[in-house]
Amino acid sequence: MNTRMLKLGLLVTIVVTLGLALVLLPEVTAGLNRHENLRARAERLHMAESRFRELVIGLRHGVSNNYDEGNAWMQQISAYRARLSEDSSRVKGLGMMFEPYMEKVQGQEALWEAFKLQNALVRNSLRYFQSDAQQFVLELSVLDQGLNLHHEILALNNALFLMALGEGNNESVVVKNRLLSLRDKASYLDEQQAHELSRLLGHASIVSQYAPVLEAQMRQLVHGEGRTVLMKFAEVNHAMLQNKQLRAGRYRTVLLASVVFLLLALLFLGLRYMESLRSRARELSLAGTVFDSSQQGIVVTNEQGDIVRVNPAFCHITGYSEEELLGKNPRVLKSGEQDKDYYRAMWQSLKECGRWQGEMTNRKKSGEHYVQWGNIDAVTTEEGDRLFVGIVSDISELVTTRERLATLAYFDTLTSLPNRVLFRDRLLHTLAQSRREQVRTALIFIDLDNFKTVNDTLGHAAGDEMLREVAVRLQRRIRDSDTVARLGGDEFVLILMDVTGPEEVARLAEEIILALSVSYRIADIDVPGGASLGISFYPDDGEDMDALMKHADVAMYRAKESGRNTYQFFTSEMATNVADALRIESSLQQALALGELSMYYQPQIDASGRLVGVEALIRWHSAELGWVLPDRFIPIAEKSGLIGVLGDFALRESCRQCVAWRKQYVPDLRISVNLSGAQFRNESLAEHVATLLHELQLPGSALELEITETVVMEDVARGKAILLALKKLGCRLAIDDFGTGYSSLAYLKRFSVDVLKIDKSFIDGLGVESDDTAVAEAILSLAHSLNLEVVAEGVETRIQLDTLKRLAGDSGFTAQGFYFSPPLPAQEFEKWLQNHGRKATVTPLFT
Amino acid sequence: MPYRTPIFLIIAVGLTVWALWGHFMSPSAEMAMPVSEIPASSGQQVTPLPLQVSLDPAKVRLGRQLFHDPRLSRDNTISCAFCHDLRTGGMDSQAHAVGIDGRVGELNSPTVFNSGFNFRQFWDGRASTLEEQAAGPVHSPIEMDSSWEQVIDKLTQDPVYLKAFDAIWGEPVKAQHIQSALATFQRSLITPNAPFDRFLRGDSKALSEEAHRGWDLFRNMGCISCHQGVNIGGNMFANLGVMGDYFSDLDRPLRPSDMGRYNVTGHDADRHLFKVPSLRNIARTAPYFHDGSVESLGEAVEIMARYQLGVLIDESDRDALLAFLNTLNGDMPEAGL
Repeated sequence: MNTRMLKLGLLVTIVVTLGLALVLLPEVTAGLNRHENLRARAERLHMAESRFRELVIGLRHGVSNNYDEGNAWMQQISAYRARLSEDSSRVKGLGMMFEPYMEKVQGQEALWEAFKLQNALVRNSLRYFQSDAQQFVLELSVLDQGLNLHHEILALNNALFLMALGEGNNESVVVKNRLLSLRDKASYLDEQQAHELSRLLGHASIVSQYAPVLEAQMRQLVHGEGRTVLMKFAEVNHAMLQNKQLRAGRYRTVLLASVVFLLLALLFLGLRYMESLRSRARELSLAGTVFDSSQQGIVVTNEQGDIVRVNPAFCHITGYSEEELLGKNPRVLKSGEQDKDYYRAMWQSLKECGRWQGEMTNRKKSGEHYVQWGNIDAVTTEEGDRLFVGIVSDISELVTTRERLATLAYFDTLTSLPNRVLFRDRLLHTLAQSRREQVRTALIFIDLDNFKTVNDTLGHAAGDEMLREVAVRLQRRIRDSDTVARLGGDEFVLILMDVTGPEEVARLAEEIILALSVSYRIADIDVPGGASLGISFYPDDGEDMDALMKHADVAMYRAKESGRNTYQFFTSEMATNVADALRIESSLQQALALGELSMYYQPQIDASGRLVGVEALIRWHSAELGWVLPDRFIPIAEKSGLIGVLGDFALRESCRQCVAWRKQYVPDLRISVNLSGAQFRNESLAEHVATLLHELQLPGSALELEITETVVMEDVARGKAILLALKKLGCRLAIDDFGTGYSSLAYLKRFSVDVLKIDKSFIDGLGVESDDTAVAEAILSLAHSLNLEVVAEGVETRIQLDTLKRLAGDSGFTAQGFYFSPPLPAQEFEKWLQNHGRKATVTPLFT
Repeated sequence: MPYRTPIFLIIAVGLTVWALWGHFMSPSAEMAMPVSEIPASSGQQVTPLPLQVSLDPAKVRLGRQLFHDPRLSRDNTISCAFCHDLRTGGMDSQAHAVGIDGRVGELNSPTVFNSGFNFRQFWDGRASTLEEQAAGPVHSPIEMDSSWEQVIDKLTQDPVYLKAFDAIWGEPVKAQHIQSALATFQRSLITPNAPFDRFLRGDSKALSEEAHRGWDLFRNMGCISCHQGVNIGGNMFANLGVMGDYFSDLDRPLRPSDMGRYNVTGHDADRHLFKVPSLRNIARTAPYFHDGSVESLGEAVEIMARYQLGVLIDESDRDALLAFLNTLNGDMPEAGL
């Protein structure tokens, strides 16, 4: 806005200045000069005329008698007049003012010429007359005197003298008459005298003829009317001059104002220009600093693509020095990783949009490749040069990180196998493909049988090593098109697309089991292997991913249950089982509240037939499902987490019953309660038991806790700590189902176990099957040597009891079973107590 | 407009400087005008010739060349110098000028020496300046019988002239330039340092006793009334025969040229009026009078005394005057080209 006003003002001022300086002022000045010249000439003319007049007067009166100066002035005056006449005629209104003057002075030159001549003549003649007259009068004879010549000549002399002085206007007639009378008298004289008289009279007549004229001429030359006319002309000219001066003055004032304005504007513009230069320099220096210190590489090329400028960062990225790059084409950085089309697209973008951005792999001076992210802009400089400005950053590290992150997201870091995410993706993909191509696909879940043991006993590093080894072995067994993934822990899974049928998969499963069964060499220890496999098929066992995975998982559990190191195909029966389990789980949740759960009691009788204890057994009569066995619902309770509540109920109810019966019937009655694996693993078990005992005022020794040997051996260290804690409370510890699992007698001893319960399976054939008898005998003898008590479960016949008695000998044992009594509800057992009392008179149920 | 060349700035600077210089610093145009300052006369009736005159040497050189160039005449036979021989008295020593084809004029060729000091040129003073005078002989049918057109045509073919004219005026050959050059050359033809001039300048021994008596006579007789000024004559007109009728006493019929200035003005008063001739170098410029009718200076002196002053001078006075007149011979300028 300001600038525009200023520019407009400047433009107007410049136009005004130009107009004034080029048109108006020159015109006025020219006029002014004309008038000035006229004035000066008129003045000089006036002066020349004055000087000339003085000269004329001087000449007339004999002060001077040299015409040279007069001639010169006359010539000068004529020249002035001619010039003035010519110049004034060119000025409107002035020429007519000069004309009257020229009229007045017309003929002045002729007058001057006449004056010169007549002046000379009068002078000469007057002198001759005077000197000759004197001579003549002296020579006159008396006779002549008589003629009165003497007197007349002297009178004439006086008259002539007066005339010559210019006074003699009145004398002319007198002189004329005297001349005539004197001429007449010549005849009286002799020839000589007459001649002289005639000469005298000649001179006199010249004087008388010219003197008056001379006087008139002089007056005319001196008192010319031209003077006043010239003054008038000068006045008019002067008025015009003043008028012009006034105008010129006005123009000059405006011009001066314009110039002052221009000067001020100039100062302003100059200062602003300097400021803009300064700020530009600042900007440039700032831009230079930014350019040099930018972390991003900047490269500038000309239109031909030759590098004209690079910044240090660019040199750093490429490894080239600035000198090496200048003048080169950025092609020197080409790595060959991009094809021609890539570059063509880049140039097209630059041509059409003036910019390009993208990723590009280039080569450093060292030959190393790097990935850069670059922006290229086509820019045009103020000078009109077209440049390309590339701004690049080395994103090699970023790219590497990006790739690593992608790997992390999709691959298991330990085994480098696809992780759960990628597995799901692959499975979805495979299923879609299978659906499209109508082929069968198998899914195999693999669980390592003894991974937990390895991890617990040898440490996590060993576990990791084992997992890596497993991965390697698995990968070796499968086709390229198949996928092996690790879902977590020791869970591996295989996707086998396009399989012909169970036979093919079974063969592969066996191979895998064989491969994984080979012992692992970890930390210089040979660790035995083994795996359980569960297999499901698409589309036979499920159409979607979740169903297939669940079914394979179920099959795998089945394989585990059925003795490990084996594989199981998913079957519809498994599906039913699964369905049952679900029903049980949902009913079990309400069972406690509905009072469907109850405790049954079975007496334990020692060798002398005395009642020593009672085993509490949980029973569930569901309104919906009828009787459900503990074998069935306890694992489900364990899985669903209901076991805590269930176990609490069992323990509390049993102890409460025991306290009641001790008061009423058998003061040292002992209650035996089963602990599930989940209960045992609960850290607060010992605390919980202590609270309960304290609450019921039941001594620890009255409570016997039964645990299976498998549960104890699962986590030896932990198991030992818990057992010791329980032992401190005075509780008795019993190993249930002894002989069916994997256990170490050394451990049992160290765990301060009190009782071994011989599993019913060994009792069944007692006295009939020699093997069973041998096992029972071995257990009995072992227990005896370790100072452990023995409880025989499931004693049903007299033979069994007798055999036990025989085998045990003096060491004694406790028996439990239908031979004495089946497990009974609390009220019925109370009746049994009333019937039998402390001494259990055996009432055989079967004979 | 931060980064543009400040055009306005440059224009403003230029205009300001120009306006200031053009209209505030410099004086207004040519106030100067040619004013030949006329020196006040010494009061003496006769003054010595200046020892030198300052003139443009280039013009003088060109004028000298033209003066001697016969191409100024119709048939390339006659130059100015033909009649005004610089080796003699600046004249031809003949009673009447002889022009082209041998044609003879009525008048006696006047000398070109000191002609620049004459107030008019020609016997009848029809030319005010030497420039004007130059046109006369060129066009006169009995002298050069040519015209400026012819002369310019001839001179233009001479590269030497073209160069000379261009050097002085930056223009081709023009009549006014030829006139100017010729006039300038003639103004350079002065004969200073005559014994009488030395006498006037204070050298009392410059005149012999006789000459000095002549000088006294010259003044006392009244000769000086007309033969006066720096050129001892040449500054006025006078009628021939004041104290007697010169022309009726002549034994020949009256000629047109005898009418003198009347031929120019047509005034009766100008009958027999002639420019008073300069007496400088008079002893060298016989014959005398407008018609060249008098061969000897003595006779001319006698005639002058008789007809102009009404005096019959005796022999001794005449000789004294002759002695005086002989002291009017000055140093001759370098002759020829």
